[in-house]
Amino acid sequence: MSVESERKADVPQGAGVDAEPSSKAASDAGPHPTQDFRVVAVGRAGIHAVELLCGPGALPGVDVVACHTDASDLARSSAPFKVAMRPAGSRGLGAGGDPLLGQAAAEGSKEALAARLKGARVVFVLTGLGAGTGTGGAHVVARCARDAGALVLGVATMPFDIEGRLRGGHARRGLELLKAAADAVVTVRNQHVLETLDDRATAGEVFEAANRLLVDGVRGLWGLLTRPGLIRLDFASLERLLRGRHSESVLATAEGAGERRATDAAERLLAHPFVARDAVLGSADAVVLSAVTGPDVPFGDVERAFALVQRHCEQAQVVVGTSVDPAMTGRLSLTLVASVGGSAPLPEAAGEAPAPSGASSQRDTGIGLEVTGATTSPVRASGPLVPPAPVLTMEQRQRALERSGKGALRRRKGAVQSFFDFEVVSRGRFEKTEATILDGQDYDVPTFMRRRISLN
Amino acid sequence: MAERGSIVVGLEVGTCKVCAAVGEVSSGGVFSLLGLGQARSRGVRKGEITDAQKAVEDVRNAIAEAEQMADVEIRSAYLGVSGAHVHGQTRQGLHPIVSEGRQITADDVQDAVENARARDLPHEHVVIHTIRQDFSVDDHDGVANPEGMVGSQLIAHVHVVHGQRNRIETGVRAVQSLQLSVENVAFNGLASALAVLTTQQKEMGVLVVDLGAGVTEYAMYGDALLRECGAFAVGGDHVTNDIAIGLKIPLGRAEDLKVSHGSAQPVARGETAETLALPAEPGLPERTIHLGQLRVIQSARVEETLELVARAVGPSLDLCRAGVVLCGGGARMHGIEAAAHRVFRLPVTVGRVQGVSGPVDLLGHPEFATAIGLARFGAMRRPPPPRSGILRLLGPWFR
Repeated sequence: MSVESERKADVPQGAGVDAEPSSKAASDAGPHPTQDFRVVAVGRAGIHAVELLCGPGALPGVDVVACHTDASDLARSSAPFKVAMRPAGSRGLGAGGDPLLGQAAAEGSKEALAARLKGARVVFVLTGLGAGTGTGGAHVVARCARDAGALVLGVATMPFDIEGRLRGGHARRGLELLKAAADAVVTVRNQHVLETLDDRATAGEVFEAANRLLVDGVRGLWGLLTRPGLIRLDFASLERLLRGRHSESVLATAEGAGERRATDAAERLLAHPFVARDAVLGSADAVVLSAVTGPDVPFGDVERAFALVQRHCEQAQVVVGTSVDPAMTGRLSLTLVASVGGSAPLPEAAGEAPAPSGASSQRDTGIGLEVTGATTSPVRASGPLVPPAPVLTMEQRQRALERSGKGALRRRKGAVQSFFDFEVVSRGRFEKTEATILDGQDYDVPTFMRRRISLN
Repeated sequence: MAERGSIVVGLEVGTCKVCAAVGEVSSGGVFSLLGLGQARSRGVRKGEITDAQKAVEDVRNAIAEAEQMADVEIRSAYLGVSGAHVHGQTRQGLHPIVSEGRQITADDVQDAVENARARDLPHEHVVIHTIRQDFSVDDHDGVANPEGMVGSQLIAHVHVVHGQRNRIETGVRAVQSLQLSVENVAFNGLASALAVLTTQQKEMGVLVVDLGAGVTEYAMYGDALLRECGAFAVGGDHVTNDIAIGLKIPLGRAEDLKVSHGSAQPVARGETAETLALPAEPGLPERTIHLGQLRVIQSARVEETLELVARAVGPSLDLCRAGVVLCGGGARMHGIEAAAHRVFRLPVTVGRVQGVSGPVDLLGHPEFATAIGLARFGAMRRPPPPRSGILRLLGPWFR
């Protein structure tokens, strides 16, 4: 079943039994979101962030759904669609920082969620990890969205170091779960946000900055997919890049204006704290790079900016897109999503039959796309339950063959995670012991993986 | 049975092995090692008991072997405790001197130490050791024995080693279930230090690192006083686990490889091409692995573990003029001295048991240091036995 056909299916009304209609949609009809894009905010942090996408900041063609366990927080939210998740025995008071309660609550309202997610093509799951609802619920929401056939992108904040080991541990666990459920996850580490701001920033400013980054992530990707462009980045190419990767991504935007806009934007992007840290680009294996320019900006500028950035990610599969925004006169803005250390959808490749070529490969509406580092190959639409067949480029095929041979481990730095399933093997002997978490690192995970040391 | 002095037994229930060391304190107070029993440990992970039944069985085997070798009957033991829950902290205890003439009495000293000991203990933790460092009388620092001095305020500097009550209790119960009494518990890291260090080394300043299978313990002495000690739940098992994951081989094979071909030294250029063929075994196909990869994995972990210790000890590492002494099973790893030298930038030696007489082959093994140290800890705690047999029998009436 293609996503397209699923969209046509009528959304059953009033299916969400324990869903609380928002003030605007108080009627029994309980309108469900109908747009291709859905932003689902889970938990308090998600709801706060998503406020930026409601009202004046709203994006056309995007429906915002707020999910929370705490009824009073939910009532304050201005999101047009709401799902109240009720943990047993909480009397609407929230999950109280307990991810298990959050998960139970989310599982309990799966039906309502499914109704809100039906027909979506892209679902953004916005959340703050570390506490109860987001940590326990986000991956349930992501799974629902995947079951509905959508491409799921998680956007999550990680707690500050000072929030303690417990929350840090919860957040890491939640992130692992979310990574497993979503196609890609972009994380915004509050600690990093704090480091980018100056010392005088108040708590409000820090959280606002983090929220803005979360929302910028959504907005950037949305813009990537919807703005009319010269080289349009379409849904299919994004899907092919991210689907089934379960990766953790880095998201950054930078802008340049005036004569030197191309070099300025590229340099700012490369110097962006999230990008510069840990040499992300060098170890990224998939990169989405998009430029938004004013109508007057020559294409040569875009090209120059792309070339500058691409020089740093030669190993990665790069998808580029450009679009034009009249409001951006004279300016050039770059958005980068780099997915680092995801499990490339290779392991599935061995067992699964290759996608029948030509089957619905032309369903994308994009005018043109440019994929570097990969040959164009067909995309199979996913069914609601079956994961999509992996698409192999020649290079990937070669790698898969090499891997199945003798202990050849990996070719380049940073790709470690792409074929060790973190959750399954890495704890090995320490399966039933208390994790050794020191300085925020899980020491039970092999050192060479954490330090990304190349074995060859 | 021959005429014996007082028998003391040190029992280490480790992650890799259970080890019981039997020692004897002669009437002159000299400690000598009589025998040692060991058994493979199956019920312990990261230094803490995870399967009490198996642990008890292993302790029984180790004790039986020790009894046989030393030709004694074991009734009690000093039990070593370890694990990530054990912490060492230096604390200060303040005590105002209010007595007449403001002369410091033994009671004042006791009170000051007690004040230091009782402060801010984490919930459910108990004190394992209270080790006095030195005292300050008013603003006069570095007083070894303040008794008899005059002052208005006494500050005791005390190193307190504490651990979680229940986890310590679990070990004690396991041993008691074998009808063995536990005379006392001691922190493994300090027991190892006790076994492998000389007084001179402690005076010069020295760091002991016990590289166990489940736990890495450290203890640092400066000016003959214990300055820092602690434990991390990272050890040889992690090395094995890393190898198993990195090379995709079973844990048993990884352990064998680590022992036979492993090294804590990173690979030099040109050495990377060396390969090793693993023969086929039932259920396991033949494989060829790169020794370079094995080394990369292993040296990364070992270095990281030692860096943890270096970070925990911090700047006082500079006080270690006698360098670093390694013990525990990890000290037998190839290239470990060079690896430790790279991390600590100090002279590194592999420890052997000092100041104890006994079978030479046992004293030279760094992995027995903890058990022997525990026995020695017991010997220090216990007064030497009375001189003759008849007095010993009548002892209770003559006291």
